Amino acid sequence: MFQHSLKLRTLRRLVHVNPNIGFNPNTASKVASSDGSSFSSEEQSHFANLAPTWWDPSGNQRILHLMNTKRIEFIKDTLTKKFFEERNTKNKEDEIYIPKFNKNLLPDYIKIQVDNMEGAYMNELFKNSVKDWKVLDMGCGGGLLTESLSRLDVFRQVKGYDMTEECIQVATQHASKDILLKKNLENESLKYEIKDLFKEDSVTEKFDMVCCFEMLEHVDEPFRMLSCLMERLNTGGVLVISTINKDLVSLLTTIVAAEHLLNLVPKGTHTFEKYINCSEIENWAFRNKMEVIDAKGVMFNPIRDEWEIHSKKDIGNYFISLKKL
Amino acid sequence: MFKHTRYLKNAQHYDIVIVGGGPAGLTMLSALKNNPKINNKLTYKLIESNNLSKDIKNYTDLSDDQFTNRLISITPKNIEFLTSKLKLPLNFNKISKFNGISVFNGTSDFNKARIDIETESYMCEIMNIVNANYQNNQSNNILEMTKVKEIHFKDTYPVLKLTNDTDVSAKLVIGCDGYNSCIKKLINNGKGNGWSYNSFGVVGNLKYKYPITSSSKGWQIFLNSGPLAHLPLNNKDAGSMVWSCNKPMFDLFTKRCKNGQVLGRLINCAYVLDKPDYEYYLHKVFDLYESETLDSRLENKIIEEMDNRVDMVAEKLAKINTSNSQDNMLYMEENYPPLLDSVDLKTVGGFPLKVFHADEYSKDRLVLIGDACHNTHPLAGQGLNMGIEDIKELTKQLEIALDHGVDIGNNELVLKKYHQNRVLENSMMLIGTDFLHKLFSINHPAINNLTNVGMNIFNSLDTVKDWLSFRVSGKN
Repeated sequence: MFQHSLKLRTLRRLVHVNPNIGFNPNTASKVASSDGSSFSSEEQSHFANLAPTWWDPSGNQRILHLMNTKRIEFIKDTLTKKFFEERNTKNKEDEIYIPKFNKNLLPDYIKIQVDNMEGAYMNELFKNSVKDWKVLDMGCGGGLLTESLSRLDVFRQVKGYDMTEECIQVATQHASKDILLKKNLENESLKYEIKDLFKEDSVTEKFDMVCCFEMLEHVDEPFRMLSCLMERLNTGGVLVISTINKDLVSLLTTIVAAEHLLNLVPKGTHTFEKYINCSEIENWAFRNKMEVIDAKGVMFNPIRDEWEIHSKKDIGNYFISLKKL
Repeated sequence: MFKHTRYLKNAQHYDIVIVGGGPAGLTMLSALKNNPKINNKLTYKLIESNNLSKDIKNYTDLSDDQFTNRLISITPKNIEFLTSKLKLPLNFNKISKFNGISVFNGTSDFNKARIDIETESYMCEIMNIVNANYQNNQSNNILEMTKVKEIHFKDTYPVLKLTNDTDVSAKLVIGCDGYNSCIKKLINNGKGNGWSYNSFGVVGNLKYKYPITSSSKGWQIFLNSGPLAHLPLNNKDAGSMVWSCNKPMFDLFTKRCKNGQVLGRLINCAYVLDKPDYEYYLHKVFDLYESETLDSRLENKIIEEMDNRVDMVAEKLAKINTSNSQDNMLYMEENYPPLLDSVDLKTVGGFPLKVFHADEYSKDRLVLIGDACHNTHPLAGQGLNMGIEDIKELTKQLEIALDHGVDIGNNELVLKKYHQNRVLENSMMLIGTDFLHKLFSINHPAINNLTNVGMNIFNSLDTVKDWLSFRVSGKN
């Protein structure tokens, strides 16, 4: 924990101060589609075509299903980290004692006990803090993440927004087949809505957490989208984003390998020009008074058939979480 | 859509339904109950076809000196899991621990080769585990005397039609109902690799001639008909056997044999005498029970003959291998299993032996554990141990699924992981056991002598033996 906070401090210092490189000229110069929606019509039809196969875990969205567990893991980690820090700055007495030596040096049976206690404490902290939270999953698609968040059963309400009608239909249908989620749909703790944030004039509803996973790289004006999402946040709310760095590794992995060689992802899913670097988002956050909580790289390991979270946030896919100040 | 929901409303819904209340199924239930994350979030039920409470009653009426005949060996690692993790109230008066096992090669004509492996293991009655689990679950999660008539899928959930005319639907059905599992048939049509050994395992409880004084050990001898295991039950004068034998021998032991003393003496012969001598007495016993009428005079004569022969050979063996008369007395006790007085014929029973490994352990919302997906020859005593490992892995995967908000019945994301993590270890165990069985069942002098030499070499390789015992028991 001590190490974590150290890392965070250095990370914050590393954030670039030059505000000019924050804006991506490629995406900015492109004019949004004629009707003023956030998605171009090509993207919309692409996802409408995908909708029927969305929920087949062995089908062409398999890789997204596998990534889902890591998304939840990242969300949990990042929130626990946030709460832990907030609590520690609030009252010093409640701080649990963390020994200044390596836990791994302890005998096994003590180490397990320490781990268990720490885990239970963190879990409790997490659960109690998010009890009244409203969560938005922007660009929910078939509702992969939305369902998982709802199934965790810790948030007050989980909402899924998407602007493709077919996707929302699939998501609602799939959720109503599950007994627990059907109940959640009925009492509105889970809700899907067709919505395009660019067309909304006024902010009607605010959330404590907004997730936006694997969506920014499909949007024509990502920074306008980010601003829209930020508007939806309560003060102190968390914005969790994942997208892809604009570098050679991403080109090779997400487009050449995943789409053309290994057929992991349907062809035409990604457009390289729309990728956004992690540093660009950090800059945007800096200019918009948001604080980076955590940023992690994530990559697919075809041998273990799993996604793995690693610390290189500037290569390939990445997760980043921001706090609205 | 409407029809489906109305249907589900009629059916009782649980998150997890376990089919089969054997040791594996009940232990699975305890594992679910003792995992706080799963227990808080999920509902579960176990369905068993037998009258479990009656069996339990019969078992608990027995005194600590009476043993049922179905025994199983459990490794120290798994005993620890059962007692400390699952907190099962096992009756340790009826569990015996042994510190090592000696394996003889009975297929060569002279000079039996032997391997001594120092590995801890516990012999435990199956009913002891069943009873402990049953006490632990207070029976309100168990639906007994109910069979599953039919399983069909309504949209996404499997619906189980039960014999008591109710329907149960579940997010996940765990099949623990053994080789003839009704769940297995739904997964990949029950396809898998395996064959029958055309032999039977005969079990029975043994009574020693003299109470043992040294620490208890397990013994196993490979005969051409299959291995014969001789295991301690308590540390006094009771033991248990598993004898895999062919059809004629199976019939002889379980049906025609009327005197437990004959059988007990025959086991003495198998361990102590050379192969030709043992086979001579085996034929004599066959001849004795050939006719319908039983001559008790002949019976006694054979018993006496076998006793004399065993005593003579034992004396000779002791004299050759030791130098002074003090060691002389101890030699047989230390190097051979305790001599038997008789086999308790009431406890003798048998079952066909086979090896089987299912290709797939799981499908959406259905999963197999224990004997439902792998059957093995009892010679390594790994049947239930593999089942317990399955249980650990499956609960781990379910816990991960709950943590990440994944549907627990999802094959691709949850159940396949369990299959991937278990399939290699299970098949290694099955192949190893099958190989040993095949190797010793070849009846050719050249091969038999070769295995004899091989076993002698193996016995001198301590590191290999340590590795093997570590693999088998999980502890050095």
